[in-house]
Amino acid sequence: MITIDLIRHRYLEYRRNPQFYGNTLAKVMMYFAGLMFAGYLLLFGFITPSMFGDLFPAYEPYHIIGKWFAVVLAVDMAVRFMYQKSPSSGIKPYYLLPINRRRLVNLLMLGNVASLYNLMWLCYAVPFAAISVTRFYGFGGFMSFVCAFMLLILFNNLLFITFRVLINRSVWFVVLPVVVYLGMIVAVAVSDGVVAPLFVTLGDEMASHGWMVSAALLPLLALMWLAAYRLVSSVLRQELAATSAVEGRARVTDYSFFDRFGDVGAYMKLEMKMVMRNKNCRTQFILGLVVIAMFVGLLFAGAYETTFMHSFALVYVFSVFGIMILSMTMSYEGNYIDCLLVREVSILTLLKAKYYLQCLFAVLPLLAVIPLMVDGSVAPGTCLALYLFTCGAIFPLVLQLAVYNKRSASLNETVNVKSSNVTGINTLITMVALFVPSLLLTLLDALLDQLMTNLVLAVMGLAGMMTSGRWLGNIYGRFNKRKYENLEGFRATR
Amino acid sequence: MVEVTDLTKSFNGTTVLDIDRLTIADGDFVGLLGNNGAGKTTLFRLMFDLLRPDTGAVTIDGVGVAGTEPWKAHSGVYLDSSFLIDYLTPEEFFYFIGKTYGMSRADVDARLDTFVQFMNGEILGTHKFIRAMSMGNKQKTGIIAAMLHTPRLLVLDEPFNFLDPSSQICIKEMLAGYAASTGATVVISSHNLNHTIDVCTRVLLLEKGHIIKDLRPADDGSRRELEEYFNIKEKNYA
Repeated sequence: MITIDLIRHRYLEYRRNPQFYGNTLAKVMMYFAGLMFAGYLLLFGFITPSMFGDLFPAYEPYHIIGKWFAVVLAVDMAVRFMYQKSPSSGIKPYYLLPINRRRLVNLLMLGNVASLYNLMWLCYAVPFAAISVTRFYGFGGFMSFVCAFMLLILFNNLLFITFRVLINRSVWFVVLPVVVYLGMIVAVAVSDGVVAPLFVTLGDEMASHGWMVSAALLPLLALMWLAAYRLVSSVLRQELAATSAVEGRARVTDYSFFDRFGDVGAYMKLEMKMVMRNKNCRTQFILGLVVIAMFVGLLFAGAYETTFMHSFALVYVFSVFGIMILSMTMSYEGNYIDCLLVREVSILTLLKAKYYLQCLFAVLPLLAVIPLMVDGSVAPGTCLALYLFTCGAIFPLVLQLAVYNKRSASLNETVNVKSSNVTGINTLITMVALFVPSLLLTLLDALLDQLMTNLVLAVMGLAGMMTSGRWLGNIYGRFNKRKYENLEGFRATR
Repeated sequence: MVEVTDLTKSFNGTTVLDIDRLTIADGDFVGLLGNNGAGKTTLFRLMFDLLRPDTGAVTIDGVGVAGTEPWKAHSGVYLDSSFLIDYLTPEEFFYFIGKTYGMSRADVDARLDTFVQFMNGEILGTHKFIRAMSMGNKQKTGIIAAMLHTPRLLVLDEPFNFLDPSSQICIKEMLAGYAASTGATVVISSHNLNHTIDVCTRVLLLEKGHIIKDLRPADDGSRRELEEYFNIKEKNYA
């Protein structure tokens, strides 16, 4: 039966994904991350009932979870964006075969909705309901609460499919989930009169009349399924009908400003064009801007109370952009690496261009934190020191990935999208680049006064920037030593 | 020009290339012929240090290619689409490639004038990124980029692929003219026996990684030998 074959193919696609096939470390890390997430959910499932009870004695825990269910949905959506694939991926080979297209799209959506990830939320819902619902509404209440909870997660899954497909069409749709979830959370936070009671009632109804809530959710799920189905189908039709020749007239910006920098300038132009003209790179760029704006907003609102979190947010604002783009170093170039390698010292020039351009891009966060400087929540000296530290210490660390990245990352493909370039070493270096500077900043803050802290960071950064020729040369030398191995990897994943 | 010595390459225990000795002299116009999996592309990748040989070495102008750079300045190669930066327009791509060889925009423009007939008005000024072009035009763009700096060694893998019949005839004339006027060494691979015999002065026949024939197609006997080889391979599927 063709349906079974299709299910088997999806399973094989996952099993034989170049990310994991023959890569035990990546597999172990992925399973470990899954276990950690499930563990956290389980932990929160046990501790939140008593925590809510202590914090909000006038309410039952299920009222509070209902009130803040938007947060649960937002977390769920964020995790999906990190790990879950678009249901439209991998459909191309089947679409022109004599297989019923409705069945095909439905099956792909079903595969997405039937993801084991959804079941992970049981790790939260079951202990939470067992502790907080059972004592009032018995086993029936427990079961109906869990059922309603999981249906809401499924609803979120369908929303994810919709958002994912829309974002694949245009990256600006990334604003949609941000508006939806942030809107709900802010509405609950600021409106005690209308929205918050509505969500409290949702929690109450989930506990007391869970089956009715579930029954009410079913038609909503059906409608959402229909909407997602129509969207997936129409996008697939458009993408499959569009041959490469109908991309249309290219909007060409030459970035001739970089011409004055000679050979390195030519590669800086190339890098700019790569970022701006390719869907996946552009998405990263825009997401980077969105993340910077979000963190600056949170810092401005004083959302970070502890020194570490404040330092983390501040370092994140400066480094996220570079980390997002530089962590993919050579992965995008893997698509045309042969073109570069048959020309003299091109990789070294490319690395220099990447580094200089990122130092230039890092001015954007420096501009973004001006309101914080004006507000007085961050000292201008700290911002300047962090800029130098990011360019001279964090970027050199992330650029080490030029040696280790050996999987080509798709520049534009969305129908048959390849997975991201997450490997053990990639994750390790990215994590170190994200967290170690925050720890260092916290430590320096604890040991030294602000001026000395800034001075230490600035000196470290300047040292890295002034010796860039040397460490970039070192990266280039090590890249050459691993060249053949990396080339095989790039070819295998193109 | 090119010396290949004791060159072997295996993938997963299967030897895909095993060449004891091969010399390609200055000015040779060599065609590599062979069926799928004969080892043509593998040989090219090894020639340009894009693959690690199990044993042996390749030298260009007496310099081993492994880990060295000097040969890059005077060689041009186009094997497949990984030699194209497809988010550039053809003009941008040519200027970029030209710059890596120290050519100015004016040099590139002047050089492109010599490809006007081959481009057939479909490459320049179309305001399209390379990725939006047809396979044939991508192929043309890659071939022109490889020839842009007038290399002394030109290597093209399956240059007739994706090209319409007119362009196939055009490229044959273009390559023959290029080899004659510059004295460059040209190496092409192809599945197309007729095109290869028409244009090449020397034909190497590869089978399962071994060079089994080294022929001069100008000689009628060699031509017959090649035709017989490929006819033997042909099966009747009717």
